[in-house]
Amino acid sequence: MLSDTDLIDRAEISDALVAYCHAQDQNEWALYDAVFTYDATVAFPGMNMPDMTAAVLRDFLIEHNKTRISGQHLIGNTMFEIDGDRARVVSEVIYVTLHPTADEHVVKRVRGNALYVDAFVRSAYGWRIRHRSIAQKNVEIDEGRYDPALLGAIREGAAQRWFQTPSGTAA
Amino acid sequence: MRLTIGEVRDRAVILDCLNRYAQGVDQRNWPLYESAFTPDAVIEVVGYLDHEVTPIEFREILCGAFDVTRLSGQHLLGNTIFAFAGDRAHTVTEFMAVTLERSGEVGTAARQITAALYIDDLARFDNGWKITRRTLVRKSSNEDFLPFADPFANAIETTLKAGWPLALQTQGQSIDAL
Repeated sequence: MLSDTDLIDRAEISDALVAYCHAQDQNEWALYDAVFTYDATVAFPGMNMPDMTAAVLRDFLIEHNKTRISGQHLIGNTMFEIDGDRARVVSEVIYVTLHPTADEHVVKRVRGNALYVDAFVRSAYGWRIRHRSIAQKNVEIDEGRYDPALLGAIREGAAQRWFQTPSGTAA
Repeated sequence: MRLTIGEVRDRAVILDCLNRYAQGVDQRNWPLYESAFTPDAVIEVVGYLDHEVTPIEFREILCGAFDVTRLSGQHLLGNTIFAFAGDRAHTVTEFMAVTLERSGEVGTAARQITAALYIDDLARFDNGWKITRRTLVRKSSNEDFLPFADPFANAIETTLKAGWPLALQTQGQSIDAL
């Protein structure tokens, strides 16, 4: 039987998992600071990418997103193993990102599935990821024609800041 | 700051509310759909509707535009982020919608996969949290065409026509009757 403490720990760990996704998907980089420990590392097993610190990954994503049209990293099926102030957490992720091409009516689509395998620690600021492995399961890259009105709506939505407190102040 | 168990419970009730909307739309269970909103709630769809609509008006848009050819829909929610101020909340939720429609060609169905955000303002009432304002923002939407023939066509048609347990619950019947 789960205790109240177990439920609170899971909710706080989930907050960090979700903050990572919203940070990169909505360019809300302040959220990224609530995800990792200061010395956290990220690995990409089997991919042609070196291990890097979470801080370097943040800079990489900010640069990457400067030309990206939109992105969604939807996580689910999270499993928690919590042992005191440490936790191992595994989540599935399905993602889709759109990128411009030389033709303004054609976008590059990147669609895939992956796992986030995370080692969490409980810090003074709450639960934080100390090490993340991003394990790819499949990736499909193609191009597709987009209606200009839809593309305009996507760009309009991506330009907004959606994170607010209930009183209307940007969080 | 450490969450309280009360906040964790509030989150669970809000997720119930968001799920009622998705289940309501996907299973065309309109009482369930309406139960997610306050009567005076408004819905905005960026780049699709040129003005805000009520949940009832949005339901009519969904039924009118899509039900003629609609075969199925699934709005899978995730990544909800919460901000609270007393009896009010602001949430941002990702969803991926997969819908299937009859195409103009016999034996072929059109599939649309859409990634998008729901941005919601909610308020707490005696019977739970309800949405007072929803904004829908699309991120990508890709369509392709699939063969629509036995055996899957029969299964999809059966799902389309069937009532499911949640329909009984929202009509005031006991789950024991299932």
